[in-house]
Amino acid sequence: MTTPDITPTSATGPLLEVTDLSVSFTAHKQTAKVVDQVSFSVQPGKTLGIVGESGSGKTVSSLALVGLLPRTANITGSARFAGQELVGMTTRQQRQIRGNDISVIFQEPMTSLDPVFTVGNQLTGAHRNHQGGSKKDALDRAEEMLRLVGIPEPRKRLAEYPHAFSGGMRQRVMIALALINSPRLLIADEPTTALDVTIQSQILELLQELQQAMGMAILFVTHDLGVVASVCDDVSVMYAGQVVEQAGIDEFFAHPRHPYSEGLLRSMPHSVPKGERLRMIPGTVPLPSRFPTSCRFAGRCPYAQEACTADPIPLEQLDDGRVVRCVRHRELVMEARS
Amino acid sequence: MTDVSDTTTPSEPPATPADGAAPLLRVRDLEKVFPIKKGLLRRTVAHVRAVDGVSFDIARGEVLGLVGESGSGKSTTGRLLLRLIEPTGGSIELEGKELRDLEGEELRAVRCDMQMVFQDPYSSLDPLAPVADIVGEPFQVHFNMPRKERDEKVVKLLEQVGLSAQHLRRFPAEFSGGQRQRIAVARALALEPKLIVADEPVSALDMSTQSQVVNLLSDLRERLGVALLFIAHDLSIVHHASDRIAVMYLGGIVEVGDADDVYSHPCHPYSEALISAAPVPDPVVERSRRRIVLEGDPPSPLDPPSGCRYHPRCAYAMDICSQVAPEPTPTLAGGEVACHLHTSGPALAGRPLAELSGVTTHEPG
Amino acid sequence: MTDRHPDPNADPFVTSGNAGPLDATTEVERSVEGAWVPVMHQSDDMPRHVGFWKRFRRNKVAVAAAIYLILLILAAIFASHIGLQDPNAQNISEINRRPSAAHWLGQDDLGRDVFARIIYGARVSLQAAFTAVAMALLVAVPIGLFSGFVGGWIDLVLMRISDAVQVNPGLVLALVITGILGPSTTNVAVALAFVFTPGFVRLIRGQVLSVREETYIEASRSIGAKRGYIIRKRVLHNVASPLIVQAAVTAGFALLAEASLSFLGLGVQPPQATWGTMLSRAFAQVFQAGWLLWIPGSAIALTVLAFNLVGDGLRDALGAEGRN
Repeated sequence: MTTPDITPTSATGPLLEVTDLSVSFTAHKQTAKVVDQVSFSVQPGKTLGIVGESGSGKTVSSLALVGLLPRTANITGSARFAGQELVGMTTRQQRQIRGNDISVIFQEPMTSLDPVFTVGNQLTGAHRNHQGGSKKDALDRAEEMLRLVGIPEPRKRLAEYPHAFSGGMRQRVMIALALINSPRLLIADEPTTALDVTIQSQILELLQELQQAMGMAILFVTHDLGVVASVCDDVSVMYAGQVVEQAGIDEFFAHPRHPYSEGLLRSMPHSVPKGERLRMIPGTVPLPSRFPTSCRFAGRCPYAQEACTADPIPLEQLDDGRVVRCVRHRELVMEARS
Repeated sequence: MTDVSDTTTPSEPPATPADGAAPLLRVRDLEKVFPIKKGLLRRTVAHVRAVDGVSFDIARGEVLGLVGESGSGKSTTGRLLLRLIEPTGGSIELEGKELRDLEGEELRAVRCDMQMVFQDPYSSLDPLAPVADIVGEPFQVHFNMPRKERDEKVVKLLEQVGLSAQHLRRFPAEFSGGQRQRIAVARALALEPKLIVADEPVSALDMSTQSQVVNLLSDLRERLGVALLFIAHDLSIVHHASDRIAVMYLGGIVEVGDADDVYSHPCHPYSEALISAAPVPDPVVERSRRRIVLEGDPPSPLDPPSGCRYHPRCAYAMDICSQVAPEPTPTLAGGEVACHLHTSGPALAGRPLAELSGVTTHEPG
Repeated sequence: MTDRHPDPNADPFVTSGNAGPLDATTEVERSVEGAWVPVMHQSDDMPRHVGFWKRFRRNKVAVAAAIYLILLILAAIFASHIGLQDPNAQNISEINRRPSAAHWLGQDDLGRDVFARIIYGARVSLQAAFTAVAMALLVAVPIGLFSGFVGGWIDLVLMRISDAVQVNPGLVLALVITGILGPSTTNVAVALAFVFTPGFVRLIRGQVLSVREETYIEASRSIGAKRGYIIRKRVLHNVASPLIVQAAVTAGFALLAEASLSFLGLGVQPPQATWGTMLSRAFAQVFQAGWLLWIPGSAIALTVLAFNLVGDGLRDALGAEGRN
């Protein structure tokens, strides 16, 4: 299967370009390819949302980029970050790039912060590991970061331990930790899923402000299409380990090109008037061991034909720069709302 | 509602459904105080007022949505209704019968009329019991029904929720999250309850399966006439599934009213902020609308703020808000709101908050 | 509601045919057809309940240990039917003879067939071990369930009692009890059961404490189930897995303890054979026929090891069951 070259819309070229990335795990002599030839690109200073349900492979593909998968993972394909190949890097090289040029924030801030060190300790450590410099400089930088992420009395709070912070404040500390070395790419894996909506909107707003101030690109992994609409520039939809569609968000939310995208958008309560039944996608995501070789969505797709269950479906680049993996995309006209 | 106990007379119950008929469930001044115990002697050092004077009614066949963030006491309220947690104050009447004094057999009998669907379908089903035993448990517990008869009933229930007889001998681990939640719904339906308390029934599910469960609950309401208390934090789903919505903040209901009214024209600043905070899957709307970003975190229920509990985070806070707890007042749309803006200061007198803030949240629909 | 979108291409994600508004009375009895069907069809895609045996079989060592134990148990049960020589028949003319075709494991200091004595000895040793574990379980399960589920001051008292038992070294305690009750196989089993009970109680109580917090227990309560029903139907089988593992490992320890007590002359009385007494007699002959020590010694070591290996295998196989 050939994957099209996903040409960037901007002149400078993408900051991160992932091509045919595959990840498989082997257990009990069975191999499950949980990520299958995934391709996407992130432009400098822009936000790409990767959307998918659990089991879609969205988290695994993002963690594969920074070497945060267990050693049993078999990663193939290519991921070029600012000209550097990330796939096949040594652990040492990965560690150098992680937390420096590429940072990661996770869903659960408490498990990502070390409970036995003070917040200041962790922040200065992260800074000095990569930048060197004196303790005092690092401390100043840590204080500046806490102020930047909106934590009141930053100097005082540097001496506190993670448990002394509330959920929303912890996520702010995580963001400060991730951004202390001014990364060029931030991978945010469901950073607001564990938070209440009012706190979520604070964090989303903060991320957008920081992105403008620092000019970093964000790879935003989420299951929430509302979050995508509010913070992303482009969106890549994953289903059962594959990218099924990539597009700019305006085009995507107005006219999805893949039946799965359409199904997702339509199943949201916003897409139907109150009182009507919600639209739904029947069935569930197949297990990685049972992914069909042809279209993986065919079993749940209302448009499925014989052609959909025959051969593997290529990811096709369209004239308008969009990418879609569906044999019928030319004939189908889809709407986000019903 | 906050401190409703002092003022509201029984003849003027807050939050009565529009039709005026006797409600199925009538909750007044419901209260749960958890003692915080410390030390070797387990001495009580503080109290958490998890639910503090909550009053509402649910009519027959009605869906009342209960929304709030974590710590608002919404799940505790649901459990108090079934007395899975013992209330420390207030009254719960089902069809005019007070549930708080019931013990033993009487309490068990009442539990036939009220059932619960839990948030996490992965832990709410016994992992080692086959579906037939899980869904058939109510029949065994209440009627000691023989297996054959029980299985027949279970198959009928499974069919109602979109599963079938072939699933009878399977174990929970063999099902997806959405299917498990349907098994949980089938179990809740077994005794033909009059009210189902659904505690965040879809928040543990994937987005494409959420709508399956929401639709299932709506169907059952239509077909069986069962009333629902739909507890959730996702306002768009609650709005879609409910007839009326009650918004909870820090143990009290701040606003209740028709679902469309609360969602589109909230009267309480917290409702407005909550609705505004939820992102909408439409980039055009997202760019154009003004999002209210609340300052700070919700305060600890251990040490709630004085006066109106929302005042430290409220953009409209006035002097009175930190001193006096607001009483529930009727809104023009027929709901109730507990906020000083409607009686003091600008005196909205029941009009939507948008007249003051200029913020539009959602158009109905 | 009615199908508002008759053209499936226009609105493919509508689930039509599922639930019309209809006359509610008839619809209650009718099964839901149509759009849900794909969901049921898909459920064949779900993970099959990976069976206990399938997982247990993966652990080859545990399987070998289990086969060894089963053969040993069968041999012990049917010892008198499998053509063994009389274990107590003496032959003073052939003492301390090395293994031969007629006597597979040789003859002891009274010329008795060691192989026959090992098998008959297994009968006594295993019986004592199993009785001890069974008695301990019989007492511990109800106490542990009650203590964990009900809690309160009774729990507190029961736990202090179990502490009081557990502070004593197990074997010494068993020795004292057997000494008081008088030497016999039954008394050894009783003494060991007494020693094992607190451990089982604690294990069950701990499991119950965690299972008690599961939502499915709350769900059962919300249905109106009584406490007794919940303990019997919901709690018991969810605490069974670690209990089975612990029982297997304890059986190995019981066997060892029984051998120790018999070695010290507190168990079975001569001439009846048991591994402990065989070891004791062989020890007396250590300068005349040192190899005799190896036979009961290896039997004890192998069997204890087998119990532990089976316990490990059970732990792996049961551990993931149902937890997905």
